Amino acid sequence: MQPLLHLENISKRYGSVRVLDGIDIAVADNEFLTILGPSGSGKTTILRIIGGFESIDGGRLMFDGRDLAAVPINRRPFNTVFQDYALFHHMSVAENIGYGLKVRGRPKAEIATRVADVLETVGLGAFGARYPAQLSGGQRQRVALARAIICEPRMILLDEPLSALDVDLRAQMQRFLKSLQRRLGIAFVFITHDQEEAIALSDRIVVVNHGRIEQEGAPEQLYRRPRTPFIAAFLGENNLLSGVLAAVDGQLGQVDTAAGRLVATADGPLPALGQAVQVAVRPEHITLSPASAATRDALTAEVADIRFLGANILIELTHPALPDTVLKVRRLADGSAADFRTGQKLNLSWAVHDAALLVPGG
Amino acid sequence: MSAAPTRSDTSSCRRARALVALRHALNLGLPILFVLIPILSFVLVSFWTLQDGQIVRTFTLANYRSFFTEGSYLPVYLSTVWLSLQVTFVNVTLATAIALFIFRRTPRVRFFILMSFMLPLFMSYIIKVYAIRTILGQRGLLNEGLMALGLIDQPIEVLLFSRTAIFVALAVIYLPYAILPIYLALDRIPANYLAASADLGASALQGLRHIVLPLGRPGIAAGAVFTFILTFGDFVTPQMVGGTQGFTFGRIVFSQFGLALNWPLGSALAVILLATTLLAVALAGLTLRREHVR
Amino acid sequence: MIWTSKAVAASLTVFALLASGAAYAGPKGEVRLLAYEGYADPAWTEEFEKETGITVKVTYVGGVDEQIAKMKASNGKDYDVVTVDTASLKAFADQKLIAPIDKQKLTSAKNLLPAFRSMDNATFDGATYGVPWAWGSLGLVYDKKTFPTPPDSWEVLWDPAYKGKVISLDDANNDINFGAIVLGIKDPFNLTDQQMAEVKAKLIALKKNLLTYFAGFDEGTTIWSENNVVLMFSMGELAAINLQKKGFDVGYVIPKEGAVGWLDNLTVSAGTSNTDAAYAWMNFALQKKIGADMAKKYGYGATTDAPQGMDYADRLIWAQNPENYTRRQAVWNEVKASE
Repeated sequence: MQPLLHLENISKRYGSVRVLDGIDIAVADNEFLTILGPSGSGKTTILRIIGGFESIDGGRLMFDGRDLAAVPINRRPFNTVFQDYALFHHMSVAENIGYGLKVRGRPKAEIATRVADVLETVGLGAFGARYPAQLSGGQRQRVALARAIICEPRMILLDEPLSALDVDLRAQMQRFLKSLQRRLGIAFVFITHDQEEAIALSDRIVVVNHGRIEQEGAPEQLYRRPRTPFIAAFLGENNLLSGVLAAVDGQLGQVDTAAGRLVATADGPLPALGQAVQVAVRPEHITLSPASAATRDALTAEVADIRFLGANILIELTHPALPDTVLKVRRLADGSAADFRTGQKLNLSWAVHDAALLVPGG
Repeated sequence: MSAAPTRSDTSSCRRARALVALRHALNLGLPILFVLIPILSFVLVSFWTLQDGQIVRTFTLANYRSFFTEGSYLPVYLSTVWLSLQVTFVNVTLATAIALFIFRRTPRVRFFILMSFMLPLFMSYIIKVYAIRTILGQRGLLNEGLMALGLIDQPIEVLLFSRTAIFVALAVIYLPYAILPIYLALDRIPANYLAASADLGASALQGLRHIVLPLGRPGIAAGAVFTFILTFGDFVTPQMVGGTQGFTFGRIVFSQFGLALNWPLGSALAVILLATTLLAVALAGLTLRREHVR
Repeated sequence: MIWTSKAVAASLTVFALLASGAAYAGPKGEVRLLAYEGYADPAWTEEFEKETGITVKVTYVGGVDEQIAKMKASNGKDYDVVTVDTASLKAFADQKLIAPIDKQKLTSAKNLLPAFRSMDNATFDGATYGVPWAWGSLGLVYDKKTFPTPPDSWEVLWDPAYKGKVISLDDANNDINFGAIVLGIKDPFNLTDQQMAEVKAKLIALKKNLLTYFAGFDEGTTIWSENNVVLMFSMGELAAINLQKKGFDVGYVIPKEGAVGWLDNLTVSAGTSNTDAAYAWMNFALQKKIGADMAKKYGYGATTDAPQGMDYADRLIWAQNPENYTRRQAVWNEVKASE
């Protein structure tokens, strides 16, 4: 099936600095796609290229089978929700929302009806006559959304729209965005640096780092099967252990680390034997048992600190062969961790499929 | 022992209160002293009259009646208002175009272009008038240049010492005062407003009409008020470049304070000048009524 | 009581000494002049100080109003010799700011030209209050190429042949004097309503022939040099001198109708503390060589010697205070506002 929006091998330079390199993203109809990356990763540049605010140095930008190269900003068939909303402060909420229809020369009566409809859609029915300065952050967010969807585009771009909101409001707006996207049945291209937000909202996530795509996939896939140390560290929390690939059995690899040989599951092709790799294990996937019990594929470490975090307890352990590493283990705070104490030696074990084999730079 | 701190408390409290009172007195007093009292004093004088060269301190509206009925005051007033309005219109149009031109450059270039337009402000006013006269004179730069190019064989005489010359000189001298506020207003428009406007389908012209000009309006109004007030009160430029046409209302006011020493009439005419400028400010203020804070 | 007033006097003396400490007073004291620009050239004051041992201190003023204000501030105690124009003499005398001249002490009076020796212009109520010292006129400057022979009448300014090539001084009082003189009115300083209306019409007619008005010597010179001007109702002889210095071939003439003249006098301040020094300066200033130097440097006519070309003193109408400044200003405004 032909993607709605397709960025084909796009590259971009500022002078001699290459900010985007071989970016290839396909957005399907009706998809909630998030472009996730730390600041400086190039994600905003991607959005600006889609919107038409930046040119490209290589590649092609296709929408619905049509090359957008010669299409100016105001003729691109989608709209943007800007980071700080960019609501026109000299226009009322209704005027802001109706702007796209007004510049298209639609009759006043039609504009009024459609503005009223969209206001209902975003839950701001009674706010049409207000001015942006009279609204709360969340309400402005909804106005910006209403303004972007009133022309019924098949896709909208959202540039970190939730970053200006406080935590409670952000959670509420996340639910609203998701439900709105389902109701409208249009594609959302969402830019964020917040991995939790990305995981909570997206059908699919494209992780960008240093101007390249690091990995893409469904949120759960990225979380469970990170392919690179960057993804493993960027999405959620991980214990990373460096080593050398010693043996391979199907998708399983045996890795020699300073603390001994560990088995991990690779997602994708395995590198050659003898290559430097990393093993990633999530803190919540580690089981702790008394050191006396001899278990294969386990480390013996000493409890350095126990921290109560409400629903969780975080246990930090050290291993004599891993002087620069603090091993983290998370347990539900259900009382079962009461036995642990600092200085105690414990065995750490995990299921083989919970250990991810990572290839640095791959 | 216990009484002592209480006493010092009340005295320091009293001192603090005195300081606050002093600050209020200064806040209120300085404007009264330096603005209100001088203005009120000439408003007061405007209701007196002159008899045999002496000021008679009895209340009369004679000076204001003179303005409407006697001599050339009203016609000169009206022609000066008309001249100032014309200069204001031309200047605001030009200044808006220039401000837009600067606004559309990259931020680094903007400063230098703006400064180059502001440069004349660092020059003495009188030097500018002389420079304009040197350029427009019958043996001036413009005529000599046109003649050297063979475009004309006789100097154009109406360049200088005409109503056109007043118009050109006033427009040139007061243009920076219009550019600056208009540019500053445009500069305050968030960059992403224009991005949003284009993103929503508006052409550059629609963006100008719906976003830039409405948001630049306070600056345009300020530029218009500046230009109007400055040209209306200018009694030097018209005199120096206007020849026999250079007689404006400011000149009439000025003349009452020379040998004529008719302070009461001069004050009354000055009050009328002040009232006109206040009216201009009020009208500009009215157009901004619908402005909404961000 | 006596000791207190003595103490006050002593401290005042000390204060005065401290205050005057900056200016060194010569062995014969000091003479303090209140003068217009050009009336105390450094070359003269230097020579005077060398000759007499009297120090000269000059305060310049720009106009009569400023002069009266300065004199009134101390009833003349700050100045010894004051130059006063003829039109203002009576006002100064009436307010007792200047003292009658003691002709016995005025040894230089013999240097005065016959026309000024009587000092009639400065004599009223039986006393003489000033010695004529410098004079000038508001004459006609003309371009010699256009006028090989000097125009003989002011009417040339109204000649349509020179439309746009004429400039005129902008000065309410003197323009009305000028208009009245051109019309042949006997007393141009006291006009009837009828005469004023005639003068106004005459000046409005002139306006149509003008390139522009000007104010001040410099502006007149500048406008002349930047435009094709051939005639100027001028502020005085200096206008022609300045233009000649710039290389313009111009002449200066008093046409047959006459012209406004001004005559400044040396007077003795009523508050002088050093009468001898005051007369010493006046006697020094009234030498022929000083007069000649002033004529050369500043274009003022001296009363001691007729400078070359300035042979028209007897055809000038010496300026007097007009009947009503306010009225003249109003009429002049109407002339300038006319279409």
